[in-house]
Amino acid sequence: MNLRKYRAVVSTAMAQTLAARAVFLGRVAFYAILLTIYGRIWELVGQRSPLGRFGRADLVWYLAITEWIALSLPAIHLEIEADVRSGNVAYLLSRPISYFWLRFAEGLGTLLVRMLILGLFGFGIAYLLSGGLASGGLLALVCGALTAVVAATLNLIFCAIIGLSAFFIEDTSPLYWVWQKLAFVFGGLMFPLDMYPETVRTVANATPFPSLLYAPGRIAIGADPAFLWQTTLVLFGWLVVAVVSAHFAFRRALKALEINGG
Amino acid sequence: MTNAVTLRDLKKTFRARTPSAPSLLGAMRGLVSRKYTEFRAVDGISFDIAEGERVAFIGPNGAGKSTTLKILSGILHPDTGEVRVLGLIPAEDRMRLGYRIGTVFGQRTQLWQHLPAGDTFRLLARVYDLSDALFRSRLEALVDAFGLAPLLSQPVRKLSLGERMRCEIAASLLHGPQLLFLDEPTIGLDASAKARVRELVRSQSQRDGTSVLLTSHDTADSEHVCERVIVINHGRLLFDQSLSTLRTQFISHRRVTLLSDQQSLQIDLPGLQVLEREPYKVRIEVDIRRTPVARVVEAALARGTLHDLTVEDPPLEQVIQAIYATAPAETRQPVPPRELS
Repeated sequence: MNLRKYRAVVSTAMAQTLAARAVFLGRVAFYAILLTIYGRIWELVGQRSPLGRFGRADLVWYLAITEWIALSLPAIHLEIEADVRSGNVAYLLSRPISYFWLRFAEGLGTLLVRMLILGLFGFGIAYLLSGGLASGGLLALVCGALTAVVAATLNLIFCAIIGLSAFFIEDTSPLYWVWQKLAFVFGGLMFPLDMYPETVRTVANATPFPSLLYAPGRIAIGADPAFLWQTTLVLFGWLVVAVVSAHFAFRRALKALEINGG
Repeated sequence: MTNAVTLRDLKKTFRARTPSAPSLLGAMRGLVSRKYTEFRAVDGISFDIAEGERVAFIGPNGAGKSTTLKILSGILHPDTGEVRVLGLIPAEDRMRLGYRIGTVFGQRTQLWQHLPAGDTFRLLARVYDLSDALFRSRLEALVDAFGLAPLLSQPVRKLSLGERMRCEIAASLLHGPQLLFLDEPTIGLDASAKARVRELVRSQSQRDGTSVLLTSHDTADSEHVCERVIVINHGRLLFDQSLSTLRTQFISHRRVTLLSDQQSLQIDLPGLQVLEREPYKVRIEVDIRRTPVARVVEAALARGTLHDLTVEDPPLEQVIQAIYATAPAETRQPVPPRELS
């Protein structure tokens, strides 16, 4: 695989995303509203009863990280679905570049720019709302943010695999809907898995979802170094699984094209 | 002269789900047992395209054109038959072939909408592994030939359709393909933009020796770009002759619309049939075997001033119908679909 091609696709997608800046306004506004509402909720809840081992600032920063990942993800499954429906996939398949990794590289370019812009706004809002950093401090935040970029990349590959289902069932929305809701619940979008009942946590840990949202959020608010290393290993394990699955899913998709026609 | 494309007895079949009976019971049954029907999309097509040759590949919707193009570009495997494109077997060498072919689909775009076309060109240079020096020299040549200099720095979304199509074709030629697939390259363009695109494709092919396989529903595209015409229907080859043969045998009529200062323009020449008449406007079908269009125009000018003049070819369907009528009986019916258990 010639990585120079894909690097060029990533940087072109970054330029295209930056050129369409107006699209960010809605996302930034939603991110800001969400953090403000939840910041207020944690404040009110914290006044009545303790928030477990976490302070209000921790919970605000946790949500800032998980929502940062969720809001930055481009709808790559819809791009692939549109290619299949319109027949554009046949056009792109005739190029000397893998269709699947081309679409992934485009998605990655969009993801990175969104993370940069949403991060600047979101982290600023989280800082203002919580009156400072989480209990883990700046180093934890940096480690959490870096883990978040890897986690979002992993999520992007999984979403692209969901997009490949368009070769078989055309409409990817139901599958994506289920994936997204499972990710939100078992990934701990709103608050850390530490606050979940033991049984739910056990089930969640058997899935990739905690690696996608919880782990980066938890690292960002302060976790022990062992958790950081464990998360890194698990994340790369899931990355290998995702890449291998993508390879086989794409081969199956091409076979489906062969049977059903373009 | 060697062949850019060699096709021998190409066959391709697809499978589609047989729709369930239109009832709740039928829908429930469909969940448990699915039935499939097999369709023959391409049924024994054979042809060659020589290096540098420009060939129009036409037929009605569902005739098998797209399937053939997908097989030629290596996206689909043929069921049976021999396929060679630029000396390669496309289905086995899709990536290698990708470096040597170019594609333009009039209804799709490879340009990034929010960026200037120059950015897409730079990306394509990476995709096709062009060195910086080669990219610069090819881009310079294409910018000159296609008049792209004022367009390169504008975001693609701000270009007109004609300007965009010039950029699309230039993008497809950037890596110097030996074979160019053009699918409806002039769709949606106005008359002058169509003429420019046709001229650019033809002159590039003549200059670089690029072979062209063009599919279009506009017969004028075939006439202005190609030397040879292949017509298929129901996945079978109906006609494979030079354009001049097609013209003399099957395009016997032209439609001429005249807008003049005469309220009711009367032209009395053999082979003319008035299709439509309005004040100051008349639409005539001209049998060009009996009277050339130029004579009709001369006659109109002799009677008054012409404000506008349009000459149209007969619709492609009409040309195909004429070819179809002379085709052997066995090629007129599609292969019946076969239900699979």
